[in-house]
Amino acid sequence: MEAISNGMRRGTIELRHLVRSSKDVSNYLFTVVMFVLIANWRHQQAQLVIAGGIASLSVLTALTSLPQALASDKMDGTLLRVRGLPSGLLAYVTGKILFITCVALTSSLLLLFLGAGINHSGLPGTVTAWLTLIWVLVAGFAATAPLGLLIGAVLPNAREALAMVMFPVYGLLAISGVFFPLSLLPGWLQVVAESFPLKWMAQGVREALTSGAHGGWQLPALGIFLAWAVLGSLLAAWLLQRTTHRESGSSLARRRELSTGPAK
Amino acid sequence: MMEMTENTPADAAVSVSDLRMSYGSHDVLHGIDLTIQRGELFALLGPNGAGKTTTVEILEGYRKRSAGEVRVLGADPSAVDDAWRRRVGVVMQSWRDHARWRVRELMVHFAGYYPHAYAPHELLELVGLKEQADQELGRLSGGQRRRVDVALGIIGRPELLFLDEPTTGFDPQARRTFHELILSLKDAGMTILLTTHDLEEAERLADRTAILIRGRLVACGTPTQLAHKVQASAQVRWTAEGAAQSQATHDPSQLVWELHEKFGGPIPDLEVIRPSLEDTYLGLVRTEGAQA
Repeated sequence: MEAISNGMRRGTIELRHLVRSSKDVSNYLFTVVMFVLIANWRHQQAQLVIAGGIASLSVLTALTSLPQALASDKMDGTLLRVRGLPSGLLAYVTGKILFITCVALTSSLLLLFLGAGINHSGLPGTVTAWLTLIWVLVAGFAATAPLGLLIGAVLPNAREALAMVMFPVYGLLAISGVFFPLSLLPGWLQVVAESFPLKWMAQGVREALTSGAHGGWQLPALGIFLAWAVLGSLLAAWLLQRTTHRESGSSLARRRELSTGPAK
Repeated sequence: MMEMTENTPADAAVSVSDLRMSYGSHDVLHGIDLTIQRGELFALLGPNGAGKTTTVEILEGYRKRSAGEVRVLGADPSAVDDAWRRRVGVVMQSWRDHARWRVRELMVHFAGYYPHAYAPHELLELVGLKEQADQELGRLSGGQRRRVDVALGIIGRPELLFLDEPTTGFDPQARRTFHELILSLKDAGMTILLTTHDLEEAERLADRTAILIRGRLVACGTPTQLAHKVQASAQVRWTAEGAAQSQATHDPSQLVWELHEKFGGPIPDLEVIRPSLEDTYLGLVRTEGAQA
């Protein structure tokens, strides 16, 4: 379909812009390095932290970078411009998803290898373990990215988006077995963590790194991923269309005046 | 395709009847009627806050109207498809989007959305941005940025182009160049709806102008028709008995005839001064403003 191929081109160009900007690249590298440092500091739990970090990078990209990009595109008129193109919104979303997927997977893989080299957290030892790693990351990402789109569609501007999203996302990181084992948490908090994709992603990556001795987590994980992916996509599609349709040149100008103070 | 000899509203590019818009209890448009023929360059003129942008956004399909009939290229713009989008170009008031894209990069990308798009190099030449082709949009000057907006508006060779206040903030030279571009698009057969608060711009470019004040169309027509509609009086001046005489009249021809009869020959120093469109417009803004 034409919109999809236009979207792919869009995403590729935006990736090129990212690579050209040393500021953006170092922003993404910073989070990767942070997990390496934490794993270094908690070296008895290095594998847990690196596995959790690999999962978290996907979730962080989906839930913070994506809404931010969306909110700023809404703010500066990119979304409105795109709306004037035939099938523009579909192409835009396709491009954004391609962009954000590449960023998430690249940072996750980077942490995987950095962790193996520096923190001795290991690499998947078998083909099955690699497959586990891939399906967990891809499915988990597919489960969280729609939520990111949804947040970006709802939030009014980029700065606010970041502020409102950071706190709950880091809270989620704290309870999902990323920094310490889930079993240290009270039972009800474990149930909360289990209803989000991150816990299952972290567990899946850990299984892959240790070449999976435990079973039985795959089915519930798949269920949670599917539920989030489907519900998130439906809600995001609806909300995104709604906000884009509410945008107009005059509301854009009004918001710009509010954000930069009175013009002239 | 566009060789219609007779233009009924059915094949007009834009037809609007009794268009109303209100936000809550605040009425912004109070029943607007207008028709724009294919190939016409139509100006919507009015002071700031008159409702021009709201009107245009409804026609562009960016805003839902409260009431009234609207057809744009044969379709209701509140429910349009991709085929319609391909035939319409939009240049809105203020853009700051795609700041990190380079000019050529964005044009090449946008060209991919249309079946008969301008070749990017052709377009760069047309809007005079060849030298800025590899610059990021965020680094362009205001006037250059505006030309990118127009380039993106026309890139798909639309049948109908909306230009909302295109020359705000231009210096006289940039404005002149821009006007030449607009006129060349019109010559190529494009229907153009231009909004402006600059009367001179409307006068210079438009075939017909509609004046919108406080959400009402107070006059619509060619410059001459506009002057007639507002019935501003013409000044007739002459010299009689060694003194300058002057009289205001709605029918200068009649007055001159009477003077001829009276003088029984040539009238000394005869002058008939028709109101300029500017006088007309300012007169309208004044009266309508006073009524509100």
